[in-house]
Amino acid sequence: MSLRVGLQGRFLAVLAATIVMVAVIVVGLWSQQRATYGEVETLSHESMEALALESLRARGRALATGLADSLVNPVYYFDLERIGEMANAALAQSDVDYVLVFDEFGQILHDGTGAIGTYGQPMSDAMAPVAVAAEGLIEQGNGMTLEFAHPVTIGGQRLGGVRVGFTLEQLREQQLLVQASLQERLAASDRRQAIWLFSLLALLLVLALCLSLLVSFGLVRPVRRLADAAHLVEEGRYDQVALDSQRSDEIGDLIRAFARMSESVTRHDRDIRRMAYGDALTGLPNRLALRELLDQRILSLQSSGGELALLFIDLDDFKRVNDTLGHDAGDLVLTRFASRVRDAAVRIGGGHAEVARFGGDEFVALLQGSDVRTLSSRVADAVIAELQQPVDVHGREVYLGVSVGITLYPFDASSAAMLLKNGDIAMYQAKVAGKNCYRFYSRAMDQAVERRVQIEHDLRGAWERGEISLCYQPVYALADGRLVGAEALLRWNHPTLGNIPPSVFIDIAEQSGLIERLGRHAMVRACEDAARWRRPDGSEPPFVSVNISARQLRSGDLPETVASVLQDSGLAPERLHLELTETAVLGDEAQASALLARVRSIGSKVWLDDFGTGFSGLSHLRRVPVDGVKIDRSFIADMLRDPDDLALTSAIVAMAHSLGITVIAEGVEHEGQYAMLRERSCDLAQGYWLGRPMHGHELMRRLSS
Amino acid sequence: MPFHTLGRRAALLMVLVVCVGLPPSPVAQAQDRDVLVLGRISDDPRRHYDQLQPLLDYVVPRMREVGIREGRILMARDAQHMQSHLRGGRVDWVTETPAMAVALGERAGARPILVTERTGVSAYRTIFLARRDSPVAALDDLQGRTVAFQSVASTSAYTVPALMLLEAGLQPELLTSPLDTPAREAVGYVFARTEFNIITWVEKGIVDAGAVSDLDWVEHLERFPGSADLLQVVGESREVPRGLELVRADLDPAVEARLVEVLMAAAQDPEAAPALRAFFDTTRFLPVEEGTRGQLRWLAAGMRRIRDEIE
Repeated sequence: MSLRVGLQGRFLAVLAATIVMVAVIVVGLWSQQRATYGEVETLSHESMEALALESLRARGRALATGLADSLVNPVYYFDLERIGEMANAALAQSDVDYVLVFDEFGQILHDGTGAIGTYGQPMSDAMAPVAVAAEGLIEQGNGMTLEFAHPVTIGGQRLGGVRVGFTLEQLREQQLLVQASLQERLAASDRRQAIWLFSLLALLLVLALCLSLLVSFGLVRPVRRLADAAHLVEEGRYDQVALDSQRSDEIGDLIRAFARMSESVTRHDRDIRRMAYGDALTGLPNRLALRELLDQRILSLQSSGGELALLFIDLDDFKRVNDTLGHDAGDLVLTRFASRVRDAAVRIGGGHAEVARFGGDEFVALLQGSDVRTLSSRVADAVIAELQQPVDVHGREVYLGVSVGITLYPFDASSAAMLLKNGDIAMYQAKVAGKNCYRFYSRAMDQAVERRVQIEHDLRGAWERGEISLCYQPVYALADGRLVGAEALLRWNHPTLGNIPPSVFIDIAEQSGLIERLGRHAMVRACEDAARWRRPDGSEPPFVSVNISARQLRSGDLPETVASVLQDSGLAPERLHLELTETAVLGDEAQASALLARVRSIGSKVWLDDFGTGFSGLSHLRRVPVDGVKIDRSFIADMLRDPDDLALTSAIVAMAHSLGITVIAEGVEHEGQYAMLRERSCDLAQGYWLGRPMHGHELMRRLSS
Repeated sequence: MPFHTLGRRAALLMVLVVCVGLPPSPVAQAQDRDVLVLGRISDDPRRHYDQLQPLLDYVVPRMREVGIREGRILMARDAQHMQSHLRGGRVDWVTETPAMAVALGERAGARPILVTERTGVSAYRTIFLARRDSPVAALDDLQGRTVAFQSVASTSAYTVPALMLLEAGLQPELLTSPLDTPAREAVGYVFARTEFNIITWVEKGIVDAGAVSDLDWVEHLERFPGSADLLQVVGESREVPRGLELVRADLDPAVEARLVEVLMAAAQDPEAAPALRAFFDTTRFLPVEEGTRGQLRWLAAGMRRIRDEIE
């Protein structure tokens, strides 16, 4: 990790370097000064010594000469008092150590003391001989004393002499004194210099401190504030950006400009967010917003430990609205339902409830509370109840159901993705359970979905592996009980799961798109099989009816496929019946009609399967060119018990006949049903009572018997 | 001779003052009747002035009744000058040593009026000192030896001891140096200039004996007590008055009488104390008794003998 050196850090570094440099210079100057003082001291010591010594010598010479001169008469007259006075006068000088007046034999006449204690004694000190023998002024010393001696003469005759001794100690003392005084003054000067220099340094430090504070407050702090603000903007926390400055300088301008920029960015971000996270149609949060919201909620719940319910709401059969009433109407319906869902969710779920549009007709509601299971049940009930109220669209009342899948955090999943997936699964289960209801997610559902995925995986290539085969359920004419045709049905013998009912794998194939290939294979096989069918009497063999899925119809090349299959198999076109579900046809009525018309032009017949379960009603039959309708097994099953179903069945038969359309009943399982249908003039019938689905060769045997 | 010059000028000035009436000079007015002039032989007039002036200032105001209005001091360089002043009436009153008093009396007619007692002593004696270890034990032992005197001007250390030598039958002989040797029958004498030199020469064996006043000896012993162990007194003179106050011969008797009266009373007058102290530590003035006159007569005779036999 490298240490970041900030602006202030660099500034401080430069400042510190400058101060250190100045300090070095100051200390250098100071030591130079001290060295100079030292030299001055030495020089002055030397010169002072020389000067003092020279002065002493001059004085000594003068004193000795003067004394010798004045002593002539007193010595001549032996005037000891006078000599004493003179010696005393000389001795009065503080540095004169001794004055000795001696006679011509070198014996002391006077030593300056009152009693002249040494009178008459010879001088025995080391310097005496030279002094006594001196012809003129002489100067001698022994390190402690400097002596000047001069003979006392009268008229060229030696009377004696005088010796004056100066103590050098006093000279040295004085010198030391002067030296000390000089040192003191130099030290004082040095102190003054030091104080001055170091005051300068201190002043510089204070200046540096001020400058540092100025930089810190005036530059670094605002820059840091700007950086912090920029960081907040970067994180999207625009509301926390608080920038203002009263400063009139460039920094102030920068801060204000930054504040304006921040506001602008905030505004733009809001707009972009609205666009990115809002659903333009319903005004609800969109999938993206939901994902973020869900992530946030989960994140906060992870720490607080609350619960959350995710309601996956899917409008049942909304596609029909779009298909039948147009997309504008669909949008309107969506808008209405969206507001109802939201109202219901917020009314019951409280303030924490959030509703987002997840997909086309899918909504997701998030609920929070102490008992989210109960709460979500109530909300789901309310939503279902609300949506059962019809929506008025351009004067038409539209009824829609809703399937709700509920999953709970943290019980079912801990991530947003898993929650959404679980919600989807639960919703699917609700749909499977018959729609217009809600289901809570459970592990079992997961397994169901897993199984479904497994099946979808296994389904690929199942035909090629020969696991899927065709069987045929005979279709009889009610009028004469003759076998007139057979419906080709797919049988899947799964290697591990055994027989899988078509109701399971057809749906999967339909949703996965596998149905297109599977349907084509089935058509080809059925045509080939049917082409081999013969009646013993040589009359026309039975037709074969093949189920066509909505996907196959929508692919658009159905007529071409039919034509090619017929050609390949050599089957007579009229012997091929195509069965389509109502919903498949309703997908795109105009295109379907055109396609079906082309199929019919080839010669093949078109049937509507599961007729009566859809909402479109018989009026559609006018617009869709079909040769027959197959009444849904649910009508047939209750026909004998439910008069309504019977009436409906009768009405369908009658109406179909009025349109010249053939009617076939499926799911005939009792003789009573068969009789009733024959009585109602139903044309054809199929069912277990008449014949279970069977292998092609069995059907051929039945034909031949 | 600066004083002579001054004197002549003064005389000239006197004439001028009489004729023109200019301010009088001290000398010119010495003969005035209302001025008392105190004289002194001095080689250091500046120092002696301060010693004389206080007493004069004390005396003059007390002599108004005899007509004295003013006091003056007049210094003379030597005895000759003073004799001249006295004879000329320029000096009224002189304080002097006994020998000088005798000389002034004989040559200028000055009369002693009072004996001066100084530091409580009115008379002294001259003593001869010799080393205790020398063979000199009396004046007689001095024959063929050397004696140190002070100077010819000294009463106690020349006049009196020289007289003593003569009276002892010895023949003093002047030597130029203490190292000279006198004639066998004579007593050599040298002038040592000061009492200190006299005593020191004796102590150091430069001379055999020295003559000083007993007062000086006491004083010397105060400074050098060790001298008492070295030296002993080998001769002693009769008493000599310490000092004398003289007046000129023709001084107004009234003035003289009043002066004597005032000076004699001064010892009892506290106001006079500072003046007396300044006046050579004078403690009192005493009348000239007959004893004193006898001493002076002996001194006068001795001086004549010295002049005749030695000088």
